[in-house]
Amino acid sequence: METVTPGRSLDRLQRWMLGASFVLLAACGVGLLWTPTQFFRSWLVAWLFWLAITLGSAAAVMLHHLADGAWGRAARPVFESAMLTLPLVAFLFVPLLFGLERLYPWIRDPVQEKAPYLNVPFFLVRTAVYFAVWFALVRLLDRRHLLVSAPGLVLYGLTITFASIDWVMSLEPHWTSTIIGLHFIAGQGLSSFAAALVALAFLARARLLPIEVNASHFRALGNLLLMFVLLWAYLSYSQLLIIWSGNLPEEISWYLRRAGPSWRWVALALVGLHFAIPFFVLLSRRVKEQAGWLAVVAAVLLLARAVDIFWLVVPAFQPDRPVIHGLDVLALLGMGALWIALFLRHLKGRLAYARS
Amino acid sequence: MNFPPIYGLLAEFDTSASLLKAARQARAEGYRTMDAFSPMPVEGLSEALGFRHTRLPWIVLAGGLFGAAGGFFLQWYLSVIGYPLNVGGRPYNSWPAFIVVSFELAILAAAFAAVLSMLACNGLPQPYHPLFNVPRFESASRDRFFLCIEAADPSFDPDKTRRFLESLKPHEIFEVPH
Amino acid sequence: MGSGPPVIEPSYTVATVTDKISSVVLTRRTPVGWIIGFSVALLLTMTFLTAVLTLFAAGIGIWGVNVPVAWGFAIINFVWWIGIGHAGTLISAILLLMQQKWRQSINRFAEAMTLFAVLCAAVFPLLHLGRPKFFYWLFPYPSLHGVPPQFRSPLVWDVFAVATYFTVSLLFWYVGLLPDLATFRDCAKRKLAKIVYGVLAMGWRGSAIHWHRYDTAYLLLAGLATPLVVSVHTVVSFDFATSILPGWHTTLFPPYFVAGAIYSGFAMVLVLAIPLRAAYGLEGLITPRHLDNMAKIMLATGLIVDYGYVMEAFFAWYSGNEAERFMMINRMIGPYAPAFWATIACNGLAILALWFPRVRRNVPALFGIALLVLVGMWLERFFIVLTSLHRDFLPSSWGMYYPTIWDWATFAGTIGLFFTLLFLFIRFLPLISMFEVRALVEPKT
Repeated sequence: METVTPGRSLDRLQRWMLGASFVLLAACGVGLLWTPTQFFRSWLVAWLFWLAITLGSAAAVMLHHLADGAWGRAARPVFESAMLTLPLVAFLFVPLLFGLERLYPWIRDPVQEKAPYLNVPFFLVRTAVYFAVWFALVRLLDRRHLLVSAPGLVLYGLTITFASIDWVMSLEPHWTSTIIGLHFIAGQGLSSFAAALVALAFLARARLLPIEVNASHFRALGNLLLMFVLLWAYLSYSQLLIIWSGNLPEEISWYLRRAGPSWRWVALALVGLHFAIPFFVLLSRRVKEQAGWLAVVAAVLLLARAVDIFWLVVPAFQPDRPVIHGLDVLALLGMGALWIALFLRHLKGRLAYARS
Repeated sequence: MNFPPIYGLLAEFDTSASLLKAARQARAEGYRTMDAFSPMPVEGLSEALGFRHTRLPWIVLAGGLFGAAGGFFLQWYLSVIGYPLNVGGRPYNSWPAFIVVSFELAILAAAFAAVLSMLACNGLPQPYHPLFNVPRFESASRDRFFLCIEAADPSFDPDKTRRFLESLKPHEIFEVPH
Repeated sequence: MGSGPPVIEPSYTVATVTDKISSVVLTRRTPVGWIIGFSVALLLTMTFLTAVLTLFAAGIGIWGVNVPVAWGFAIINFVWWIGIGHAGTLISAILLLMQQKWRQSINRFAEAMTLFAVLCAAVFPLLHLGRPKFFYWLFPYPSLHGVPPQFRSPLVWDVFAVATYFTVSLLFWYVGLLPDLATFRDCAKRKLAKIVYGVLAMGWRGSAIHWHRYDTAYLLLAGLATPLVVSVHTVVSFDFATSILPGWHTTLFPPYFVAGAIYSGFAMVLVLAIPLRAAYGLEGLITPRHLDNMAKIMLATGLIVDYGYVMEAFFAWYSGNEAERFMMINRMIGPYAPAFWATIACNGLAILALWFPRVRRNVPALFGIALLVLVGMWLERFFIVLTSLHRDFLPSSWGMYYPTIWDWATFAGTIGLFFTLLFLFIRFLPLISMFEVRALVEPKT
């Protein structure tokens, strides 16, 4: 039987994605001129979504090095290719620099007691540090300096925690929740494993994988996906219960904006999409052993990740209007098409290398 | 009722692999009422004896759902209908707080479902079993492997079955009295 | 954790594994060390009983607790013990689900340790009730006084979480023991032992179909126990976090407490395993690989705990809240500051040595670090409980807490109780899971 060379079909997909991204991002550019405030909000949500997959994949590579498992050998080329999109993700952050004032209220009217932390110069310095750490990690991992894994995970945990405080928590500068870093880590883990599963299922179906990926690999990956679903639900519920019980004005208002009358349906949708449905489906061993089914669950979870990030960010700007703007979709898809194009470029190289 | 004079014939093997092979051959020979015994779980042995799957996971899921629903109802009923009490201005139906106990009771009910249904399906506790009449069977819990073809099997014949078992090259063959 | 030296020393076979482990209980003479250890532990248990009886007679006033510090040693010790009780079920459940074969030499006594630690933990809140004889009011039963438990209170959640945890751990432990009890029944020489182990083994005979259901049930129990373990210390953390006290009310508490629990639990497993393997010559079954893996888990969970310290300090400052900032400063330079800095030394600095493989392979060093971790985790609960309580929002109501001799006697007594039960377990039950180790050593064809 003739098998397709990895190049051909992926080449076509890559070209297609690149073309689509030009069209979509051009539309985003028009949006920037037309309604800049909305553009920056949409861009932030989309950017956080793709950042999660990239960074989560780097963490997955390190995790696999520390806790060896059959799942990793199968998924490794996918994770590594995803991690290598970091330069693109950093480049896509640049537009946000021009919209900081529109996004972060503490720039317009500074919060006095937090001013030593929440000020623009320090914010930029921290951002530079995060990217420097991530670039160094990805570079070392790409060169197979795997000894970096254990300290790398520590650095990853610390940088992503402070990054989540800077980029998301400070959207509502009076709100604090110490769990936010772990919540982001769980979310990024889920994003990267869900994305990797979709990619793996696609590659397995197209017979493009150099190594045999069988039911037991998919079961292990499905179990890890289930673990991340549970972790996310656990952290989310813990935060809800503690803030709900304490009922302190500066904390509970965060939930009142997000689970009040206008955003309640989004919150409930998250409970279903991000937890209940995937949880019960992933309990089944039969689902976890079939790549196709697993990919469907993973795709639903990716959608849930987008909704979750949307729900975390957007109510800060529009507490009474749970509506999606056209630019939200354009930015998410446009950035995604470009991301996938670059991902495929790296993936082709990895697959060819593994084959030889 | 026609009661067979013995319970069955018991063959002893040295390794799990030879037991597994013997079980497969016995099944191919047409024996159905038989069982194999080993000091640890042997992969594929129950399948070789014709055992397909167990309903245990479904029982456990049902137990868990029952525990969760029952636990939540208990708290809801006591807090909203049975004895409504204002505590720190929290609503009577404080569902975020009720999830904790519902979860614990779900796990409790599911765990009991798992253990009790496992014991019940296995017919344990069972103080007496004819196999315990064979002194050598004691090593089934140490390092030996046994295959027992029961006299209740329709194709059981004392001589023919013994000859068949001998053809499997066991360590030894025992008659199991009642 | 995939490569490295073998899990079990290669010279063992199915039969010798059984003999080696069962000989500890069935054939060998009771070692002198056992008798001495048991006697000391029993003596401490007597101290415990004395302390409890005095408490029942005189009331809670014999302890150092008072306004404003109403939660003293009782809660510190409760949290400490229940944290230790996390490693057993975790080793059994999570490592089983992850198919980590190295768990099989340590899961049995780790599970036993869990049960005894939870027992020691559960004693404290009951004694702290003030009227312990009414402890059953905590359960929802149709009582004459007509008041059901207050389900919005984390203290009631504790009752359900700890009771469920103990029950499920017991079930898990017993199910795991079942085939080994059958082995003891068959190997025992004395009649009484045969009868007792026979009754406990329920007529287990190792049927293939029984094994099939058994494996399924054991895996399902593991799947249930894993979230349960996490939930227990989560609920314990809710005791603190659902209040609004600075230093307690923080959303990070659940994962941070769970990590701390696993961390101290593994420390206790190491503290027990290292002398045990030496005393009974089990170095071939509990190998350096086991110790190394446990040290790694201790390091990983310890770093999460350290992450918690960093976050607490950072957010106290970042929040800009005066009460939060004062709590943190009081923690660092207030009257209980030595406990805080000692915790940092144990949990923050000492464990960093575990980064080095040479330290992880050095058995005495590992033992020492594990002991430091146990001390550090006790001190951590000490400063969490005390600094938030003794100086809250209103300076006029500030006060100090000093433990009394009875506080110390009760605490030391539970350590005695723990070791008494552990010594009995070592003497009468298989301390390593025989059937699982058999499956490890059997040559695969």
